[in-house]
This record gives sequence, structure tokens and C-alpha cells, in this order.
Amino acid sequence: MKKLNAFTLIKSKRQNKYFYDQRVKSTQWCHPLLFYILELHQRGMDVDYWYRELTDGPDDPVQIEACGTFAKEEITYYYQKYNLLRKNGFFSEIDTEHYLSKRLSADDVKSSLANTRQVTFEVVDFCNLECAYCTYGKFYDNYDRREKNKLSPATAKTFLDYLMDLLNSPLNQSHGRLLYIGFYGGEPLLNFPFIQEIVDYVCQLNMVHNRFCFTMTTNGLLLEKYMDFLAAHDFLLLISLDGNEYNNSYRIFKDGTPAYQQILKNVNALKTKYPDYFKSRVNFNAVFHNRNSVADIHHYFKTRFNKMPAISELNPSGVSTSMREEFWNTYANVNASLFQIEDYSLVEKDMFIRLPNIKGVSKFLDQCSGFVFNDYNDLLVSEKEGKTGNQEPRLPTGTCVPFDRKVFITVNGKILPCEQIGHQYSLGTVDESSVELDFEKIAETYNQYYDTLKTQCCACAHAEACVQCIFLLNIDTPNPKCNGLFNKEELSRYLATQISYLEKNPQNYRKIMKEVRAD
Amino acid sequence: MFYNPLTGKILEYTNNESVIKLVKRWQSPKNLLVTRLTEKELSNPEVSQFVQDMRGHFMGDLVDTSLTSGKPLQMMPYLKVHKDVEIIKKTPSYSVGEHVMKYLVEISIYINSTCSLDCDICGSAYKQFLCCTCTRNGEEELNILSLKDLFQQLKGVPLNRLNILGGDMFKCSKLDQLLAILNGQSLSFEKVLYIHYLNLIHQEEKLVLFPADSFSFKILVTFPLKKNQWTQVLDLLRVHKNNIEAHFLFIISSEIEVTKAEKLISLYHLDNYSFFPFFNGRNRDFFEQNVFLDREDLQEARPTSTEILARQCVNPLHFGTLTVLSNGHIHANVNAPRLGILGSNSIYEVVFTEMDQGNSWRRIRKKVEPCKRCTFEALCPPLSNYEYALGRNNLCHIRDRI
Repeated sequence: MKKLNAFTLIKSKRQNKYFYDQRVKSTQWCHPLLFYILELHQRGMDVDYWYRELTDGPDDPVQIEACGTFAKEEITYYYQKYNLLRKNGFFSEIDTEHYLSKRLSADDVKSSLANTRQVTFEVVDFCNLECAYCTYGKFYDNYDRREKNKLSPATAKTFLDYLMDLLNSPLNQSHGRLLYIGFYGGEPLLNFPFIQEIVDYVCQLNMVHNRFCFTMTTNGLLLEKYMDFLAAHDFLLLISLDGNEYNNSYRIFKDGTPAYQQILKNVNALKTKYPDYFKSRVNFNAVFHNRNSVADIHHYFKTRFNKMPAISELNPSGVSTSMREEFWNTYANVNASLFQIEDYSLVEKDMFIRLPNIKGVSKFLDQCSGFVFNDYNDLLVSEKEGKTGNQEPRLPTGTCVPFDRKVFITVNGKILPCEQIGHQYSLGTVDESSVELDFEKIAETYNQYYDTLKTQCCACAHAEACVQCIFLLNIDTPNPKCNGLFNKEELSRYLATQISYLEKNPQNYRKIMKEVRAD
Repeated sequence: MFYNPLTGKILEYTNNESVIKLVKRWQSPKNLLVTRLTEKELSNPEVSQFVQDMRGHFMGDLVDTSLTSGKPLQMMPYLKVHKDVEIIKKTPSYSVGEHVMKYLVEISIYINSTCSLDCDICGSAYKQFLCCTCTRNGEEELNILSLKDLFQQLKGVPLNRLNILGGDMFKCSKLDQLLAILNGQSLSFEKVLYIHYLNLIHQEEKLVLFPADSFSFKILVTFPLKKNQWTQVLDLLRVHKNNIEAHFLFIISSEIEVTKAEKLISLYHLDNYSFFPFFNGRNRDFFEQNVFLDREDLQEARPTSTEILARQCVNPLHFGTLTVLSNGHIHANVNAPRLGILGSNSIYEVVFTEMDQGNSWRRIRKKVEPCKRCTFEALCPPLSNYEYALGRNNLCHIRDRI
């Protein structure tokens, strides 16, 4: 039975001392003397004995190593505070094996599919661009071979019919929820007839508990041609654009010429003809690399479109061995770029939650403040757990329950839980006549993955707040290593970074808590 | 007002200007519950006493600035629920109905309204707590097909508990059909039957239909007690082959009835029982003395910080519960307008309506008078149905702090 201390000691950049208790879910500042007592506790020392030894004898102040000199009265005060906190559940231990013992069942997977948020179709596996960093490009080898295939409408409809049965069943726990129908590629607009046919098909489906909404990720090159249709059907558009002409120079045609001017022309055409639609339904994603910076991206999108894009770093998972050097030369880190911005406060004001450091603090507050809950049930369960002191077991890792967020159908009819993971992790298949999904097998597969990582998860100091997806860890290889594993020191440093940010920017605490919502 | 959930201690500073000024500064967003105190401030006896009190009750601390290199912070308790209804309504990509059915945890169904008893409490008590009720307007029974359809809809819902009530449920003509539905489907929730003790007389055969491993009983007891029938019922429960374990609910409207109930409990060695105060319109004194809260009651209750947070946005007493009356009307609270009708509206529509427009599951003191102006609002228990019955929200002896 693996037991870990439920609390972590933290020293901020200003040398202020805090503790985070994951069982009670609370992060608090503490007096240096209380911190010292907690260090003793963490080292396994008998605090009661220490206190008795220290306070025996005359009433002279006591020198405490690396802490200061304190009157016995003070020491007694913090010893009492320590005991009060302990009595109320602080500073206990967690049986991580029990805590991470939950596993998936076939019913869980089926229920998850019946409650999925999005269905995304890989409309085509080819593109009218050849971006250097593309997930289906030279850097990666974890996708099916690109053979200029198109997903057949019949296959898509077969899957939609299958899904409708589940969505209209009592397994669906929502009413009036939006179901996103997404179109992805390659470049999806290269097969516009497919999109048109599926949109028409979806519009006549009888959805009992859902309403639908269409989304698309596009490189923008064919926007002008099809914008009437997209606007008429209120598509939520995500346009890939990395910034100005130089920033965007990895986005090239197959002949190597830059695509920027063409993309811009199309985007401007859409903006001019449908300004309201552009304002409310069009967003941008800027891929971050060694030819752009946060400052560039901020300036470009603010001045051109008065919008702030999402920024995504290149994905290091699935990079082929032979391309690693070139990949890492292309790769850039958003956080590092932030430190170089001259007018950071303006960028922060405009981009706020899109910035990784703010996202990091927001995640920290979500996970460690004790004041953030996902929904009302989460709040009421926490209330119950607080009374009993027992934490409900949870699934290991931060991997989504399969199909909880989305279902991705590849051009070859593979069914995946997400478009961002390798195609070798297919969970089922669909063709023009049937859907093959074995929920029992899917649950078993995931459970095996969880068991593979069990030893690492049980040793992790931050398992309760894990965001690591197993599919980004080469989970199907022997001895996969979790990159997100925290030992106590690493967790302490991570928490110190977030707290240090808030110490320096206390006004953002309230802003994050009041304004930032889960996506 | 300051409250420490670890100790239950409450500290109040209402007319103390120096302290109020300090606290306002302390709580400002740029200070985050940490502020520097000057020598001059500390020499103010009121401030000094305040600091001493806060420290003495572990509600705050004082640290010499020489021990830090810069101002620390404390996490201010801002409650944030990502899927809070008011927030979702402002977020176009989300819907109020998102995963809404997983909030449904308990349903009470009044399968009929027929009863031959003539209890004084009938028609009123069910509006204050879970209790049988009958109508004077004729006999009503829930449509069995609509019930079947309801349970079908509930298959994917994580329901914890089903309460079954009447009238006299044993007079329900479709009782066996109802049981067939409950036994036939894989419904894993707790099933609890509420029945007046007098309606148990001579019902040995009917009780066989409710095995103890699937059903539990809440026996309602009103006064004046019919002693012979009472002892008959106890004998029945004791010897019944189903080994029924009953929980007795004593419905109390006076001190005398409290005494009577206590005597029964002692005399008959009853282990499982509860007292339910009933407001009959004439016993306000009884309520003021035995139900109304004072400051000591709040301190003794010692709500945890999560309980306090939960009460800021939901009513934990009623959240996730629905009642289906014998006329088919569905309510989140029987004191609030109906949300739908069994057979006409799906359970999805009903739950969605409550989340979207209703005011029962999220009926909180922060939104009602005079509680929303009271300093102790956060510490008070959730609004119950007694507030409806007595026509006031503040069932307490605590002065308002406006």
C-alpha cells in the first residue's frame, strides 16, 4: 500500500512559506515557525516529542535552526495551530493505490459516447498546403499514410445514425445540449460536397436531447469560395494563421511558395462580407514556432482583426527519430517568449487566459485553492468528502474518458477519441454499412494502460490533478515514461511558480477566479 | 463577522470603525487578505484587540516583516463553479441542459391520494416534509404506464433514492403493477416507503411484497396515538417474516407531543426514529422555542467551509430532488409551481426547466429577504420548507445586520 504525505511545502520567490494539502484541498500561507514544524512532520519526526523537549526547562527564548529565535509562547501557539489543523484532516497521508484504483467499465464507455460533445470527421487526408510542421507532415510518423482519400458520406451517415440511437437513449444525461459536428483534414473545404451532404443530413436528424452546431478547422484558402454556405449555417470557424507574413512562412504551397497573401485575401473577404458572423463565430489558432513570438502574434491579430488567437505549441509526441533535430530547431516555447515582451501588461490584458502562464495559474487555482468546482455535483461531493474524510477513488492520469469530449472519424473509417493522438490508438471502425465498437474491449485497453502506468502514478505527488494524456506517452511501448510525473520537490517548485506569480500580481487572483471559465 | 470552520468560533465587529476600515483594506483585491500594520495602527487598542482575537482563535496571523522578503498572500474564498447556471447562460458554447440529468438524485412519487384516515396534518404536512397526503376532491392514482415510461427515462440517471408515498399506498389498485416495474428494471437506487402506522394494520400480506433487502420503511406517527393499533403495528413489524426494519417519524407540534414521543421511544426501545416538527398555524411559540436558531446553534452546527460554499449557490436540502404528486404534477418543491406533468413532459424537460428557470434547487439565503442582508447568512442552514409554512425566511433569533 503506497502512502504519500497529502501535503507539500512551498517557498515562493519572496521566500514566503505556504503549504498545499491535497486531501483537504487547500493552499495556505504559513508562519515560518509553523513551516518548520511541518518540515519536521514531513521528515517523520515526532513533533510532540520535539515540542516537549523544546519547551521543557526555563522560559528563555529558543533558537530554532534556520528560522529564528522565538519565545516559548510563540512556539506553543504554532504547535497548537498545527494540532488544530491536524485534528481537522490536514497533514495526513493518502493511500495512492486506493485513490487511483478506479477503472473503466464497458458501461462507462458506452455512456460516455452517449454524452459526447463533438463528432469530428476527417473529411480528406490531403491539403492544398504543405506546412512544414503539419501533424501529417515530415516531422511525424504516427498517422496513417496520406493517400488522397476522402471520407465517404455514407460512412459518416452510418456513424451518425449509430450515434443518434445512443444520443436519443436514456443514457444521454443532457437536454438541449449542443452537439458539435466538426470537419477536419487535411483541408476539409477541398471536399465541399461531403460537407454539404452531411450538413443537410444532420439538419434532418431527429435529436431528442441535443441541438447541433457545425465547426471547422481550415487553412482559409477556400473561405471566399464557400463563405456564403459557412455563414448561412453559422459554422464555428477556426482559421490557422501564425501571424504576419514572416510568422506565417511555414505555411506554404506544395511548390514552396508562401500562402500568406492568399489566406489573408480570403479572411478579409469573409470579414468584409459577414462582419457580424466574423466577429462572433470566427476564431484563429496560431501555431507557435521559431519564426513568431507572442508579441508578434498579439500585435498582428489585434491590429488586423481585433481578435486574440489561441496559441498552440508544436506537439513533440509522435516525432520520428530522423526528424527530431529539425523538429526541435523549429520548436519554440511560449513561456520563454513571454519573458521577452516589452509591454507585457498590455499583452496580458488582451490575451489573458490564452497565455500559458495565466493558464497555469488558473489551473493551479482550479486544482489547489479549494474554491473551484467543476459543477454542482462536484461541490456537493466535496462537501460529503469533507465530512467523512474519505476521498472517492478516481481514474489515474488526466486522460479523457474515451469519447467524453469527442469522437474522431478518420478518412479510413478509424474511430479515435481525439484528432490529436496517433492513429495506432484506434478504438473501433466504421464503414458504409456498420460501426464496430467493442465497449468492453475499449475499457479493457484503457485499464491496461492505466495499470502500465500505475507504479508511476502512485509515486506521483500531484496525481490528483494530473492533466497528462496517456496517448502522448508512447503508451504502447514497453516501459513508457510519464513526462508529467512530479516528485515532492518538483511539485513544490511548480506550486511556488504559481504562487509567486500571484504574490507579484494579486489583482489577477480575483480576475482569474471571477472571469476565467472552463473551455 | 468572522467564522473559523475548524473551531466553530464566530467573532463580530459591528460598530468598530477602526476594525471595519482595516478589514476593508485587508480584503481588497490587491491585498488578498494580507496587509501591513504600522506601529501606530497596532497602538490603537481596538485594532490591537482585533488582531489578538483573530490570532487567538486561529483566524489570522501576525508576522514580523523581517521574516519575509515581500508580501505573501492568502487565497480569498471566491466560489467558482465552472458549470454554474448563471455563467453557462453567458457562455454560448455551453447549454444549461449539459449533463443536467446527473443532478437528479431523488424522486418522491405519490402513487395515490386515497386514505380512510382523517389526520389533522393531512394536506399540510407534506408541504413541510416528506409525508403522505390525500385529496378531498376524489381519488387520484398515478397512471401506471406513465410511471413505467418515467423509470425507463431514468435508466441512465444516477438516482440514489425513490420515495413512495400515498394516501394509503396499500389502497393503490395498481400496487402490484408498480412493484413489477420496480423489480423488473435494473434500478439500483434505494426504495423507501412512507406510510402512516394506522395504514399498516392488517396488511401482513401486502408487506410481503416489499422485501427488506430492496425496500425500507418510514413509519409516520401522529398524535393523539391510538395505543392498541400502535402495539399491533409494532407486533406486526417484529414478527413479520420479511424482517422489516422500520424508521419511525414522529410528527410533533407541541412540547406535550415531544414528551409523548420520547415515552414511546423509551417504552418500546425504538432505535430508529426522527422527530419532524409540524407547523399547524397555531404553534408558532413551539417553533420559536424549538426550531428557530440562535447564534449558539449556528456555532454548534459548525458548518465546514465546503458546506458554506455549497450553500452560496445551491440548496443542498432540495437540490436534485423531484416530487410527483398523485395528480401527475411534477415539482422540484411542492411549495413552488409545477415544472411539468407526468406523461406530458419528459423528465429531461422537467429537470431542464428547473435548472433553467426554477427557483427550488438554487433557492438560497443570499437571494431572499431578510437573510441576504444578515451577517450570519453564510452560516445558516439551507432554506427548508418550514420557511414557506411559517411565511418567513428568518426562522431565527439572530438580529439582522443590515
